Amino acid sequence: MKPLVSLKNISFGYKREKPLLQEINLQLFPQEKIGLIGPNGAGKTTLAFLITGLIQPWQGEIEILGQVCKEEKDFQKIRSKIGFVFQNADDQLIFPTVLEDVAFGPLNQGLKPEQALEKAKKTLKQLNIERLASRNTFNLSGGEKKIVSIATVLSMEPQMLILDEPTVGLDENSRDKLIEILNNLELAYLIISHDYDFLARTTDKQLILKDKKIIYDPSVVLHKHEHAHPLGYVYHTHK
Amino acid sequence: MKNNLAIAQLDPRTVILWSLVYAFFLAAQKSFLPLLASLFIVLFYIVLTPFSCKEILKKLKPVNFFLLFFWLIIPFSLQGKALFSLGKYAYTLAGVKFCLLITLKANLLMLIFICLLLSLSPSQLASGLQSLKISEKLVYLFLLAYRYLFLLKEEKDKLLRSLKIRGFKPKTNLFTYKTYAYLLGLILLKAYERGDRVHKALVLRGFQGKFPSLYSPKFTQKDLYFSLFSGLNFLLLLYLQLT
Repeated sequence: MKPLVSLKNISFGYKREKPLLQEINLQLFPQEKIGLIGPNGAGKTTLAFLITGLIQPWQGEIEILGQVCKEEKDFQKIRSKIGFVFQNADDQLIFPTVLEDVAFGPLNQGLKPEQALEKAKKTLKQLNIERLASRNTFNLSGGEKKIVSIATVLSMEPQMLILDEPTVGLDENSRDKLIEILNNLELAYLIISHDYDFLARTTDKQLILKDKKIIYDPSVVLHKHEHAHPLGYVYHTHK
Repeated sequence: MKNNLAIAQLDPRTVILWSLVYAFFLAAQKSFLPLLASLFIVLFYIVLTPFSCKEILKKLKPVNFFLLFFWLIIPFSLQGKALFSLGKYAYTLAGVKFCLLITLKANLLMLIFICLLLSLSPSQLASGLQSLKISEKLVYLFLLAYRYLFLLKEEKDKLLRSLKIRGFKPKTNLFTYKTYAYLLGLILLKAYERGDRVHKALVLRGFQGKFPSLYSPKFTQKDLYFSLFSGLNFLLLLYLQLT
């Protein structure tokens, strides 16, 4: 099977002589669900920017959907195949209403307004948030914003998703909803997160980004752990 | 919408053009009669907006607060028959007339914009401007400003709160000015960074310098009726002005 994304010997740094990532190799196959963990400032988001061509590597080769991508032009062709969900949903939601925002991607892909509208509605239905269609993007709650921002990239029918810290600022309820949505997606995705429990429930394989390198250690077992909260002695369940 | 004649259902181009026509006409007026007649006409438009009278009055408040300063100063600075005087400064009738004219004009202009432009949703307005061949860049600026002003305000509130928590009290001294300067700098910096992230997000969704519009405006029968109504009113106003 051909990988969707394949990074070979990628090195990058924002300052000269100070590499942030060194000779990184990474592959993502169709239907594969990968988690990427790493300390703050390790370059997790930078890696995601490299995959989508928002920044160019110092060296190495990026191959996406079987095509070697070098210049902005190469990346423009494949960008709509990669859905990137930003950490801060406010950076992603631009238009006055949810429906317009979700239709923006399909319009850019060259669809006619009616088709784009149709697709946007379909996506909202898929995620079960049709009721939000005419709402203002800035009046949504944090959880709703996150799900809408996922809708804005899903409407472009990507082949894979990259989610940057999707659980930051979400409460238990919204987090569970997000897990449910991700588990129902038949897409490959890469999730950048610190939330071990979340990764354990949404991904099959977890990589660690540390000291400029990606480490894969299958012996690392993500686990749920004991935790305390008020009224803990009252009978309840955690999914 | 309340009724099917509502302005929000019109072609945004019709609405934008008529608001421009009225705005230029009103701004050029020097006598009371056409202005008073316009006020009467604007009342008709109010019926077609989604706003209640209370909301409209609230929107007019800032303008009138600003105009208050004109009333306090201008009549003292014009010459003419004095109504009363403070020391050697006379509050003149000519000044009062002038202020009344300005107040009437400003309120009418605001009313026209509230009734016509504010009745449209921001995306309707943007698509209208776009199809009137207004520079694309200005249209984005409008759309993005609408979306992000709110966030800038939130950013400012957050920073101000963090100042307050640490016991900051604004005074007229260098320290206060310095603090405000840092605050402003920080807001600008954060806005720049956000702009960068927003641009990245746009590029990732296939943005190539053009905002395709979801709704293409259509000139319908409603627009024709609205234009006829507005045109007749406008002719009446012109007639009043010329005689």
